[in-house]
Amino acid sequence: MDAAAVQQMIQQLLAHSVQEGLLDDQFLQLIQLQDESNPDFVAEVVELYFEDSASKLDTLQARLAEPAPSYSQIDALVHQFKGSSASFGAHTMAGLCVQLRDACHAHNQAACQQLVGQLRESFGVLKARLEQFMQLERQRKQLGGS
Amino acid sequence: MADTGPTGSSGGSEGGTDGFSPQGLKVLVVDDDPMCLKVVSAMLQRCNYEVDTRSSGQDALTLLRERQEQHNQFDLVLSDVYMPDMDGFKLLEHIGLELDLPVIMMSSNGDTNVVLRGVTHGAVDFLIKPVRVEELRNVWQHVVRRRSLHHGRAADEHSGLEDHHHHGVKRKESETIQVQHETQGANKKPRVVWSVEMHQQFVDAVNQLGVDKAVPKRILDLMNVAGLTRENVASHLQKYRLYLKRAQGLQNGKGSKGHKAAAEAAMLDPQAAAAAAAVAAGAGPSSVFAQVAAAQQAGTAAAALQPGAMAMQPGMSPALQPGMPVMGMPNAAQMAAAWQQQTMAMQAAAAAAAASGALPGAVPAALPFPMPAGAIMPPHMAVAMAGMPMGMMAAPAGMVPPGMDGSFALYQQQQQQQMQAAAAAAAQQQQAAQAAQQQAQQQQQAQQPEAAAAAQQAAPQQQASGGQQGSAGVLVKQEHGALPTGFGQAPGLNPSNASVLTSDSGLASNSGGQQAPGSDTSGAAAAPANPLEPVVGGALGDGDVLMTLNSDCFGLGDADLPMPRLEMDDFLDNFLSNDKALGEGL
Repeated sequence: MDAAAVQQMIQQLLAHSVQEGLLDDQFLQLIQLQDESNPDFVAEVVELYFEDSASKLDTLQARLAEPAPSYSQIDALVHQFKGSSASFGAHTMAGLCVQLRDACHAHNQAACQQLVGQLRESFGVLKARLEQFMQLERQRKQLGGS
Repeated sequence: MADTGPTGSSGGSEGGTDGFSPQGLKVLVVDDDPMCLKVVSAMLQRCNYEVDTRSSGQDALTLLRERQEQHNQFDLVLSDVYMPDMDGFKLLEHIGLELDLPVIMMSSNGDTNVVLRGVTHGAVDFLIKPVRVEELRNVWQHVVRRRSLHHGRAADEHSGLEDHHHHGVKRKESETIQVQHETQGANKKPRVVWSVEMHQQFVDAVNQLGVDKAVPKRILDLMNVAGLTRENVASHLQKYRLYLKRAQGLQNGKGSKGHKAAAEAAMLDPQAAAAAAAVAAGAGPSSVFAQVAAAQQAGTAAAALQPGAMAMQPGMSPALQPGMPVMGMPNAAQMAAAWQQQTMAMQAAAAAAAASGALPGAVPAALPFPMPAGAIMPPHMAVAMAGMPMGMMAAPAGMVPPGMDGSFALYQQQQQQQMQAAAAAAAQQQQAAQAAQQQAQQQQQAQQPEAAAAAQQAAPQQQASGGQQGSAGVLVKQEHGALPTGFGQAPGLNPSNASVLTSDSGLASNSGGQQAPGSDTSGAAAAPANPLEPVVGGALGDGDVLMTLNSDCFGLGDADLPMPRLEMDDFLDNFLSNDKALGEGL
């Protein structure tokens, strides 16, 4: 398989993900930002999003498990989560964060917990997809792609 | 700071006529979210900018200050709005006050009120996240725009913009004017002058709607004034609410020596009390709030007063008084007469008090007008009254500087532009003027033109007179020409802009002493209020209106007035609570 073929697979993966709503145009833009002066940008930003999101999800889960959650704090965290997801292009995640904020404003603990569950699930799907993407990316580079 | 980076000022230029190249522009990005920080940085780097990042406002400020010392300042700052340690608007304020850098705000929250807040705090742009590269590519324009405005300002030695050098002198001279234009023109709306009559209509509308239902749109509909916009009304409503809040606050329990004295004095003259209340509420004696309030009281009392009892006192000079009652009010002539008399008396008293150095807090033995029971006269009023000769009392000491006379004369003419009146009144408030000037010049905000103008005008006048009046009162006067009818009977003292009553809350407070703090308050409050409160739309500062009134005086019934919550309320409240120059006793 040559670089071009791998590139095509990457394109398909991305197109598919966008179609599903898993990723959006923002992610496609991010990919463009990688260049000679920033050669590992994509890998870095993906890694960053993974770590950041995992941490936020854990915190949210813990906070919402408390008997009397501090919704203002939770809201601030969700707001940030929404921001990072949107900046990354994690479309479904960002959308779930919006719903979570609403539940937060309503002090609806059950709804919040349920949404955090959904976020975790969606994150799992996204992570798997991105790992596929990263693998293809590495292949493409190894094969001489830029 | 003017360096265009590694490529130099002329080299690497894209060939633009100015020789300016965006390359190497030094940008500082501030965001507590590492993800956003990384993405925006990468985008800026893609645009060939030099990027630094910080994840907190405090760290950013520290870095900016360091770079200032090193004469290696950034060209532009991009900052998120919602950050845990110091929110973006605060950072924006600091940068605006201490440094001269364009700041662009970012947020995933694109609500109008948030964007508006950014604009009014001085942001040169507002980006909605997620930000795109195309949006960032053009941010260099903000840098150039600002430089062309401030060129000549010590930038020459650092500037790498050779093309601007020959404009240096010209720019320097016009710099101030340009800054002012920036301040005033950013929001190019025609100035709205609130005449006494208009304010009367406003108050009627509010009362008719019921305080909790009095939203700007409905008020506007009821008022049916051609050319008036919802925004004008909303802005005025904000001030009115402030006025009420202050007045109530004072009324509700800032007991003090001064208050007691004022209370006694108030017993004697309802009009004076109303005027005092108007002042306490920050409206300024000459403000429309006070005037309408006074008008209502004067309406009843006017009959008992001798019209034409306006002998010009020596030293009185005809000066345009803002907020003179406008013809058209039912017993305008009578009220005018009453006001004139009182104003004259006040002024004379003030002059006398000032001359004799009467102690604040002294209660005059007799007042030419009765004050409503429970009304509280601000200490300065009492002082003035103490110093007044019999029959001339009613002017708070220090409230009416010697130069302010003429309110009577003005009143009779009724031709004065409110602008001039405000300016005259402003003349009495040194501090307000200074503060206002500073604010107006420092902050290029999308303020309402009249506010900025008021501040500008007020400033020179105030400094000239050295009076103690709260500038707020004057400035407010300019904005609001009508007396708040809802306030019930204000003592007829108010018609005069110069009236001390307008003075800051500080005056009505316990201090019972110098009004300087009050003036400071109102002035300082007025000034900061201007740039930062678009809705307030004027120089109405925290210290503006602080007069205690009987709840009856308000005519609104309830001590607890539920006010309609306006969009900018949070902003306003936040600003008010942050403003340390609030009148004493508040």
